[in-house]
Amino acid sequence: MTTLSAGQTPYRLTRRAFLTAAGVSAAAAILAACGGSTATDTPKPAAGTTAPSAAAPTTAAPTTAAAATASTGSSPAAAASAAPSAAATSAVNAANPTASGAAAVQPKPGGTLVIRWWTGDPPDLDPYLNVTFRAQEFAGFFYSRLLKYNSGPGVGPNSFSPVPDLAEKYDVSKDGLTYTFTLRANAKWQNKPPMSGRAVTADDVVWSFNRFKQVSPNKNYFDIVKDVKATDPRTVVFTLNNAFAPFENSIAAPVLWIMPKEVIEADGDARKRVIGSGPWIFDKFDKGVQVVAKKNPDYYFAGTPYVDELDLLIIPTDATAIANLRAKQIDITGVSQSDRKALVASNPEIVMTDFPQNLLFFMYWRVGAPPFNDIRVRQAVSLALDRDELITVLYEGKGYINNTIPAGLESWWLDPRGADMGPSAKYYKRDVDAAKKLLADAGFAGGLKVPFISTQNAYGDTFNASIETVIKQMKDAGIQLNFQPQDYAAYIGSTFLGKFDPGTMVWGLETPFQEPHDYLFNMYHPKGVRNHAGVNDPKLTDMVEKQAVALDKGARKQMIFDIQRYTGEQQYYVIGPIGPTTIATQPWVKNFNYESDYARGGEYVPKIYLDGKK
Amino acid sequence: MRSEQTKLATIPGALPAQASGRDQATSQRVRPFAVLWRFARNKPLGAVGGIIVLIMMLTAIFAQQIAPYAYDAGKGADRLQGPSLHHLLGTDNLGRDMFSRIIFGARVSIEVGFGAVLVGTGLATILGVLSGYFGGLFDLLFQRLIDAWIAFPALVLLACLVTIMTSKKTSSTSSIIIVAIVIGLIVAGGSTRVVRSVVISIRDMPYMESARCVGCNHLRIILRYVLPNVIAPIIILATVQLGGAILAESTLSFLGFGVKPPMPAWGSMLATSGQQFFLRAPSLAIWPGLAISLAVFGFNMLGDALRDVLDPRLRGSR
Amino acid sequence: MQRYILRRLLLTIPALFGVTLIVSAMVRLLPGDAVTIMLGDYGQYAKDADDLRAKLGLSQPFQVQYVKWIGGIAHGDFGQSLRDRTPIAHELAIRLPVTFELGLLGLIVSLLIAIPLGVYSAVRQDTLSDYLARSAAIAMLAIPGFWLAILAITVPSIWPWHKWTPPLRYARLQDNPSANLKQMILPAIILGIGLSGSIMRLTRAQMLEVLRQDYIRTSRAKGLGERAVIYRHALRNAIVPIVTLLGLNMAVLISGTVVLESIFVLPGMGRYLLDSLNSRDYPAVQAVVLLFATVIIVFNLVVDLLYAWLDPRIRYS
Repeated sequence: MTTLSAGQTPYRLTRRAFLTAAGVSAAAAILAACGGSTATDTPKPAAGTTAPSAAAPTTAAPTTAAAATASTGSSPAAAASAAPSAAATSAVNAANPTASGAAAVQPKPGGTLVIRWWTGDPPDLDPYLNVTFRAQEFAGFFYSRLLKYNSGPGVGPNSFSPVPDLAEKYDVSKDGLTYTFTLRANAKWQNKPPMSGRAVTADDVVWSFNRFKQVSPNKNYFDIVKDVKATDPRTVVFTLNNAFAPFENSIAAPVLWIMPKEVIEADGDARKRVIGSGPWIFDKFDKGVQVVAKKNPDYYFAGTPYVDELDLLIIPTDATAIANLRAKQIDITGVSQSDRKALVASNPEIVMTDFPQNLLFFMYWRVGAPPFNDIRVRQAVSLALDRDELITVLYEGKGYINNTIPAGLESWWLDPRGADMGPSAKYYKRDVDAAKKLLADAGFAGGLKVPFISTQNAYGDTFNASIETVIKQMKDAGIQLNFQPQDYAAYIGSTFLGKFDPGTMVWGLETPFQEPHDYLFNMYHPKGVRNHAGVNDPKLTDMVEKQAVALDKGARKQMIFDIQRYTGEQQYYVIGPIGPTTIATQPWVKNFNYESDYARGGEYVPKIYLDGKK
Repeated sequence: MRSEQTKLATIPGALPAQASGRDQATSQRVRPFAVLWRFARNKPLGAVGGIIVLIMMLTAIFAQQIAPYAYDAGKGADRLQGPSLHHLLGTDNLGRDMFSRIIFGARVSIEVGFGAVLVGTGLATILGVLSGYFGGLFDLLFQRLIDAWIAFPALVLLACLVTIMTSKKTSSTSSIIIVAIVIGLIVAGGSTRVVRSVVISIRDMPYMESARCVGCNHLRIILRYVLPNVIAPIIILATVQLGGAILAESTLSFLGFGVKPPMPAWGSMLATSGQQFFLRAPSLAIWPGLAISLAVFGFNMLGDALRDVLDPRLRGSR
Repeated sequence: MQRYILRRLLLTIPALFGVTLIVSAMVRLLPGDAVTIMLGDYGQYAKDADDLRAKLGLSQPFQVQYVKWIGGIAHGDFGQSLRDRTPIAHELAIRLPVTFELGLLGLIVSLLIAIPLGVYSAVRQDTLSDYLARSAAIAMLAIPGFWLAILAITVPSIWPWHKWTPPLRYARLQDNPSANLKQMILPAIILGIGLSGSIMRLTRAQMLEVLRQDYIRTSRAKGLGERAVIYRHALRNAIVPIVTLLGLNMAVLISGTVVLESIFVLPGMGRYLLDSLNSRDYPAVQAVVLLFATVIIVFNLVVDLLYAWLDPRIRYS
């Protein structure tokens, strides 16, 4: 049983981790979402540049430690108790890990922070009624959750380690079935009627949970929860159906926002009035232009946010964002890799933060039908894919080889080109001859001709470029793809859900998740809701179910590594590489420690302060 | 209807040549080469335009033979190179030869342009002639329909039609046809009006009446008397609209509705990689942009010159 | 004359009906619907999706939806956006002035460029100046607008001595005229350049024709200065068909601003229409199309009337 008290950061901040993280300063993946210039909605963070030197292993270091202590259970207790000394120095206040280890600089409050956050409007101000990424990002500024993801110096942008937010501590029972959260005494709703600054209570949490299960399209997310109760005004108890290792993540993820009951009961939804308990108070939404937020003076992490006002700009085209960055009209924006090159040359004072984008581009099909029911054909496709060329072409040569778990999930990702991967590592390196041989063995000596679907009006320029490159690469191995572009609305309602002609190949993209379970279960389990390929492999199913209940972090990690070795052999999905995300910041933006999840508006943004902005 | 006719008198090319019969007689005795030469001397800009158009069409027809590489062949390692002996215009962001892509793009532009204009002016001719010739209630309602058609926001129409037609998982090549048809439908609206006005202005001419007296049926009258008079304004309209169609395709691509990759179309080249790499490698945007501008320039100049030549009212002033 | 106007206005109603009916049908033929887009990649539960559709009125048959919408319009109610259930009229009230202002400024710029250039070119017909001017005109309409726009926004930001970009936040003309105009000036110029090509050529053609007329010869013979001949007599007669061309350009104007609105971050109708189309927000698309169609049809009527007023030879029965 581990208790995380307020102020304790649950990770061991080693010097090496800190230096590495400092070298890979987090950039705002804000732009990540805005990456596709003319594309309408890019549900992904845009590609940023990668830190070429910070190869996966080094960036994995801090997060391994972080992840190791994040979950509950008996063994991490040792790590957690070893952490406090280092942790205590770094976290006077869990929300404000200011330069731990470095000379403590006093943050200067005040000013207006201008961020290019979106390429299009947030579609809905109520995060329970629209689960697409912009709506969730919007919520991140104004609403709290019981837990949130950690951010700060030394914490990587993809660390995703749950730390206290609205709850100041939580306990997990030995059998992993009961989670007890204790709310902060000083947690208050923002001071706007009808909430008028009253305390956030356990009833609010229970009420929000019930609303979620009722109205959210994502309601299955909490199927594991049997019951939620408020045992006293500051205590909420979740009882689960089974032990579930990823449960902290489920609470910390940008999903269960704690919503204002009085507002929703009066208005019917949270669209007309945005009142939360988060760090920012909603000021206005100028459609097509910006969302303006003011700092919440009663925020329970006292002292933050530092800046007085936040302008979240909506700028559809990258060229406009870059121009304004140069003209010093914007403080923070994401930039594509090609723009990054140009900016570094023209404006060396701008700070670039690069980190692996937590994203999957992948090939799928129906594994139950020919020709893709033949493992050799799937392996051939993986061998034909030139991941290195994709990295060159899409990301200016800096990228990562995703496994079944993306490289962005640093602590769970097994390097497919590393020694640990085992024999299935060979499928992650291009070998056209081997591909042709496998195809011949499978009966396709003359090559393969298949229809090929992808969507070009949703995922941005980088994804669109990847489509053309993949078509060409497959051709080299004798796989002729007959490209049939599909409009996004048609794609997402049918093909993405697995409804397409068997024998078709599809090149798609998966929403980023912060927990490996979300990838493994959703994509590989027969009951998963994102099982586009119709995977039904009893051995794999068993492995996936086992890792979900492995409360011991180390053991779970090994299981997940085993899964990756196995799926590397099976190639149910052929996973493409990914590149970096780059966030560009002006030199006067201080304490910028990016966190890449959708709730980052309330995680790392409040800790930013401005020094020297004119 | 006389008011419409007077209005049309003020738009050049809208009214038919009054002396069409006489012209036919004289031109039979002139050799074609001499005609071309005189045309080039009198209308140098038009000649330049004509040459551009000719080059474009030859490029489009013989693209396969002229282009040094296939339009989708390239290696990532060769990307974003400047002009060289191997790649006359350099390479694009995927390592493909820009020169070849521009050449194949000419084919797409010509296909889209001609297709659009064919559909557009073809439709306009049929509908305009029928409406103008037969008149009456049909014409009245039809005129209002055309008003409504022109009132359609082109964007909605284009986006919808292209999306609907490509939702059935079409290939790149058929997307060219679809874009052409869609642009043609838009073009048809305004053109129908012009054709109709021309037909109306000659409908009550004495020679038409005499043709009817003699016993010609409607079809014969339309074919022998109406159509020849409509040809000249249509040619003029067509050449100008060709340029417009090419521009329309590029705007459609910019918004994501144009010809689908990997087929290179100047518009989508400009709108996708051209825009993406604008800061890094401006040539990706310059070559297709130049190609579009040149094509539009050529067609318009040619159209201008043709009008000056075919419209006798301007003849006196050269 | 009054009867003519009345008849035209009356006939506008069926035209608008036709346009909105076709658009409403067409937009429903697009794959997916508002619910598909709202759910994004969480669309796995068909029942939830259907419940949502019922709530939004999407499960009713097309005719019912259309009639309901028309009924609302008749009462001045433009309906609610399917995306977030906010009133569409509010959106339009904000965005219409933006597009209108941009269009008007663009038009003014185009006239300022095109008419002098056209007159000059006509007066110096077939000289080098004429060729250059005509080439310039074609160049202006051949260069893709968005290419110019990207150049326009990028170049001033890398200008070595003073880096400038237009304001990023739209301010209404009445609230902050200087910021408003600073934001509008570049897109207006680009829009104007794009339009000026065709207007210039028409002006030139008209001037050429008018200049050959007998009354021009007469006024020259009378001893009038060339300037007076051109501007007082020729141009006034040449101007009429240009007005017609403006009517045809209206539609282009409205569609063509999407790109400029995106690059210069203007919350205009073009972007709204495109976003609504992509979100399958049927009532929003229908409302915008209705507005556009009305504007165009009314504008064309005004142009025709202007025609009659300017040219006394034209009379409508």
